[in-house]
Amino acid sequence: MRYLFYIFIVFLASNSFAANKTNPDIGLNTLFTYTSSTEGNSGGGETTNGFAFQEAELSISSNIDTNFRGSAIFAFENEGGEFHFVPEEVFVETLSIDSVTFRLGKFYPFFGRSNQWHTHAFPFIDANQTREQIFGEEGFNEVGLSVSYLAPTPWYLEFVAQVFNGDNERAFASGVNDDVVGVYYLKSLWDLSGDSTLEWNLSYAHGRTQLNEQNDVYNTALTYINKFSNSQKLILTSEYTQAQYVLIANEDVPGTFDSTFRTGVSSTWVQFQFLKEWWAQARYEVVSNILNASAEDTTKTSGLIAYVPSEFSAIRLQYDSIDDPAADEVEQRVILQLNLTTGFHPAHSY
Amino acid sequence: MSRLKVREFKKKGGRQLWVAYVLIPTLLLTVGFSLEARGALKVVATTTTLASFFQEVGGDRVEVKSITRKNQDPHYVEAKPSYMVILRQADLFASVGLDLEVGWIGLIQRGAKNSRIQEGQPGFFEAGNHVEVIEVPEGKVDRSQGDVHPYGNPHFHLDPMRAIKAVQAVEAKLVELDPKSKEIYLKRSKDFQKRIASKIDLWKKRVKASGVKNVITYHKSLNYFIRFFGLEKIGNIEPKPGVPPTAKHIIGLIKLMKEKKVLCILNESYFEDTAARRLQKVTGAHVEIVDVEVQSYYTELIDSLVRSIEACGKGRN
Ligand SMILES: [Zn+2]
Repeated sequence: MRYLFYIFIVFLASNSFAANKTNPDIGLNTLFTYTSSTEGNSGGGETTNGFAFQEAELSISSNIDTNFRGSAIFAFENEGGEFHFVPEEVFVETLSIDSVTFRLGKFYPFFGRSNQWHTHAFPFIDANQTREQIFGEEGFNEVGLSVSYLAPTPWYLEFVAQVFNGDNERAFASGVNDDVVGVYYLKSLWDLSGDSTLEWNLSYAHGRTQLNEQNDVYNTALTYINKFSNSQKLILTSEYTQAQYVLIANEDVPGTFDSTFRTGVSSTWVQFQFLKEWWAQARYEVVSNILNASAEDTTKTSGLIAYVPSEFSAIRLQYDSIDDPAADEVEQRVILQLNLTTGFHPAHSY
Repeated sequence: MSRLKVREFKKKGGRQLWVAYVLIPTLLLTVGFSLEARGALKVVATTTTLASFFQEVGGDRVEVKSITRKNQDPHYVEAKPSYMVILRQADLFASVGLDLEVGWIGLIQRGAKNSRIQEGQPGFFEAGNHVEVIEVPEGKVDRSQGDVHPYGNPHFHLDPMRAIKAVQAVEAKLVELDPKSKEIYLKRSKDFQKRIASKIDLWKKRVKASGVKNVITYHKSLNYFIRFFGLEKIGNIEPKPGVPPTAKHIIGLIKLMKEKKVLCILNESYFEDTAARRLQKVTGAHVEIVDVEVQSYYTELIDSLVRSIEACGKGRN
């Protein structure tokens, strides 16, 4: 049924493309990686040493008419050597209503600073722990409706109310309990000067888990951006997510879960463009069990250097050190990524 | 009968009260808003040049803002949410078009949540649609050629005749959106066009008298200016649009400049001038850092470019 819906939207979109004088914007992004980790391939973890085709992403977007805009992003994902073709986002948005935008379809909810970023736009090669720990590898991606309102204030102030079906293994599952997930989001951005801004996000998601428990997930994020010149820029971001429940499936006994716990995750990172084509970045993340104060936190420290000759290509080298108290030793990992885009490059959201 | 009427009246009275409490404030608010809206037409332009055209034609009937600052490169702009705040109230969003702003315009246009300025609406204007452009690429364009402008060179405003064409389109748009002020727009537009046209001959004479025959520029921003004034463009400092100069390319340029006896390097003020300075050192050519978007008035912009050519002709830094 859901696929019928996607096919319908794609059909709608492609139909309008044909009728339009202007072509839809089509872009293809591909990500290749080389990984070397102390965990190796024997640990049974997620890390796979060696070359990998991380993901390819095909994006198509276009104004359908003066009232609607359609956008579709399909990913070919490599999951342990098996390729999956996944519609990551397929949605339509209104263009002709003042102050308000309705969005209907499958998309990454407005939640936190980083939830809507696609893999190729991640500041680091892998996803932030604020997203991965709470919502799993695929992130928070749902089918539903959002209404965003831009307040008539002299600075940027946006409220988004959203309702989704709830299809997240770790946090929300309406399929089990007929419930929906409500997500509320606030974004406020102030210009500190002509070249620097401060952004604050506050988000809250409410629904039920697969075990039918009420679940609340909160997020708050602060971002400071300063563009010193055309070739120098600084981005400082700190994000904190807290969830009442996080379910992790027990792979040996289907339908059961290894752990349900109260989790708080923080990610803080700095990105510094020191030359036109070069970036240096660092990230520090903490995953903590709030209920059990004596439990040790898992920490992850990352460093990254990126060579970005154009907005269509980037080579990035990342180092991670993951200190999980449950593991025997600290995992050290190096990943090299090649990030390529052909065709239309969607404008970067600020 | 009469009783019924009274009851009806009472009922109406009740309704009138309701009207008084709810509708009147609403009406007042709406009137307040439309009064505000009936003031000057709010125009937001992507460049200072386009903004100046609207200001010249619109006078005090318009309130004009520019997204890019005077010396900002309009090719690469960050889609800051603050621009959406500026566009939220706009009656008209004016762009150069021809994909000059493709990297950032869509996000702020949609993010403004203002139905009037969306694509296909009367409140969205693309100047490039009204001007004949040069350098439309033939055949397939791909990224190995750099950031090629796929619909032709969008920097047409540095050709005074094409600027006049754009001004006429600006005038037509303002008349369309605000027909009551038509007379004002027509008159101001005519005056402005005359002011530009009356200077053309002198500008041409001055360029000719400077003795400068050919130039090097950083980007293709000055191609229309070069063509209009009968100069010859020998090369660009950037090897391909949007690609920073390489050593190999600079060596090629040095050879070419010596061969063609190039005395004038025009480096657009929003691009790096390191390579231009190197060329100056090696070849002895004169470097002029030039503005290519309006800083104060359009005629002053062209005048300053003509002055730069004259300075090249004198050959002293
Ligand atoms: Zn250009």
